[in-house]
Amino acid sequence: MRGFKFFIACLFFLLAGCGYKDIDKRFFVVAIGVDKSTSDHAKYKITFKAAIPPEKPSAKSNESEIVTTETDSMTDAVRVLRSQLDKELDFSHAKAIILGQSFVEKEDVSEILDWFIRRRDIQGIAYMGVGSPTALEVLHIKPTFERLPGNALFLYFGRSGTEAPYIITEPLFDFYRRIKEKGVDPILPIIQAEGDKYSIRSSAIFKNYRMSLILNDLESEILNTFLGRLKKTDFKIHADGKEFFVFADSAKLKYDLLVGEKTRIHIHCKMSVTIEESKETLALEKLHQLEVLTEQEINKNVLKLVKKLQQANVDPIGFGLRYRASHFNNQNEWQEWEKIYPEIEFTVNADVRVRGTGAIY
Amino acid sequence: MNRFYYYLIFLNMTVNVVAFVPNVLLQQRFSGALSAMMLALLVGTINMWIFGVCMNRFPGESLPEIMNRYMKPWIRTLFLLFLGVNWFIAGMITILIFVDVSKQYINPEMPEWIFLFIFLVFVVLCAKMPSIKVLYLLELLLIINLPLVVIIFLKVYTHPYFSWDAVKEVGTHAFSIPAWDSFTVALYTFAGYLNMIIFASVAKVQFKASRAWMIGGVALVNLFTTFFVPIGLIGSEAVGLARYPWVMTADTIRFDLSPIERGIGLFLLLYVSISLTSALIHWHVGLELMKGAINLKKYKPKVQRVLPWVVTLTFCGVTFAVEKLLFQSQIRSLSLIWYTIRLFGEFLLIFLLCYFAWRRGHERV
Repeated sequence: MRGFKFFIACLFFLLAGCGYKDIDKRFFVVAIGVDKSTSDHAKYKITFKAAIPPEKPSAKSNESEIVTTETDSMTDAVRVLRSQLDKELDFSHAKAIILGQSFVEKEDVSEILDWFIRRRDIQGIAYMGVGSPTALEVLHIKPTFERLPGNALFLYFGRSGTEAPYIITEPLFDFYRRIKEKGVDPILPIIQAEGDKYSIRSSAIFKNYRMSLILNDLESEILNTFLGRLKKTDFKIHADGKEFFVFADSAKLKYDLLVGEKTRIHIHCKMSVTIEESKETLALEKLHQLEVLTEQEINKNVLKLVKKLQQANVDPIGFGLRYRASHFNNQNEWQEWEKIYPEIEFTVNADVRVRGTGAIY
Repeated sequence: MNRFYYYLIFLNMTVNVVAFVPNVLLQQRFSGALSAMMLALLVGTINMWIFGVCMNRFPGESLPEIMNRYMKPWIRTLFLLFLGVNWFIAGMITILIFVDVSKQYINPEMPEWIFLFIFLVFVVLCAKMPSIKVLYLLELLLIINLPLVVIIFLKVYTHPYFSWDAVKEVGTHAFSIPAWDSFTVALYTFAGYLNMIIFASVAKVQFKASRAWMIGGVALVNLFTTFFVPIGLIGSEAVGLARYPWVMTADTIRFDLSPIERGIGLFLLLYVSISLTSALIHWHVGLELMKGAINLKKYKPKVQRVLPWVVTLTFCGVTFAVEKLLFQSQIRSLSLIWYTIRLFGEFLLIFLLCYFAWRRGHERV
């Protein structure tokens, strides 16, 4: 028995030298950028933003090292860039993947995505976005208010930082799922590089693996609510001579697919709002009128968005998937849907309740 | 009913979430997996009920002891050896898949034989313990892992990106002809109760028939989770491309305020514990069946000590050989064939138990 115990104790020696490098010998890549190459001999321009740890652990610094190269594939890029840095590249903290705008407009996105999904050390919850004008410029930005390298971008997308309504959070796994799925189209937020700050106010919708439609800020906000990712939002209502802003702390946008002679989609919206800002004093008796005005405005905007999506023949909300889910005809339901989608009628019904007008009338 | 019965069943169900089973089911999601699962649910619950009622006639006796009474020695030895080998292969498959997952996700640079060596040392040393101690170890490991299971369960069902439409879409394929592979694999989910053929001698259980339906309900939830959660989170098309769908599903979970943000860390922790526990139980049962097959107690004490080691080490050698010689895809196709063999073994066992129970009933008269 003693022999066995000794033997088991010896097993601990197996742990030494099985591929563990010291943390001082690693460079942690926090963000990865993919652009279209500007030269002829390579396909992509890959950029890594690696974090440089500060001298003292207590000092906060957002210093980072940007390395870039032009190659035909991600694996080549990793090989080339490893020779430019003295430490081992470690991707376990790579939480942002930015694709350049010119890249997504012209090239097939699913090819480069393969490396990210296949590798075990790229997080499935890494945030993705389109970098405008290029991913390299977006990665170069170092906001002064950033505490850790690359952290500002993560706080934009994670809900623990800002909860701005225009920012569509798209993790890697969801983007990959939408690329492969029949009936939902991929979406990505567009990250604009403005001086030394980011500005995320629009989103891109993909079709056939390329960017095909850009939505502005209001449309992105409504899409965000549709996807169920945004609960708190505010709208500007401008109608009937009145102009005011409402803040909704729980907005629900749901839809029903009604199949009959003519396929219809009925969208209903339920919101409970308070008035956030107004150009004139609001009388308490007029609250009902405010509700009606808000409902009309929301109906109008939602209808505009879905019609725009329908005309561009894109489907980020997933109407196609809902159609497939409610039909048992599995052989040609997809062909049927492609014929039906351009002809669908949309109706919107908003139900708004104004709870209050804030601290003053 | 004894808590050990529940532990064994629960262990098998949990290990099927992480092992081979989701992969097979999801590959056939458009061609009959759902109907096969429903059928397996029914057949498995009925099997478990019959098994329980028959074992009730022989309180406190394990299968080798029961067979001693009613069967000729050579059939008995042959059948018990067949069952023992089946159980060893079950444990071996769990270990091999576990080695593959470890190499893929935990440490790609470590050679497989080191993984195998460490796991087999643990499994072999624990499988040689007396049955009651194995049951206590099982209880301990399950209690430690239960919070992890609960956390993952809650996190996936409240995931903000869960797509119920994708789940319904696969549901629309429910009326296809059941696929055989899915059926055998889903039936394996229930096989936890079969471990009682050895543990009945130490855990004196009176099976209550009413509990079978409750266990069937839990099995329904388990199968539903195993099959539909990866579809809801990875998408109905992309899930066919994943080699380990549940590990990829765990990668979609984000723990915002925890030190490790990726859900995959927690899941792999759970996976390690559950896989090793399951392999340990299977190898213990296999070893006891083989000991019972040759009636170890009749031999000299020296042989009694050495023979189990010989058997276990032979099987370790087989595991090493299989790992070295076969590719993962070959291991998978051979495993599918084994699941069918196991299914027939299970039905044969149930049939024999019915026969024994009938004989016992007539004996009393």
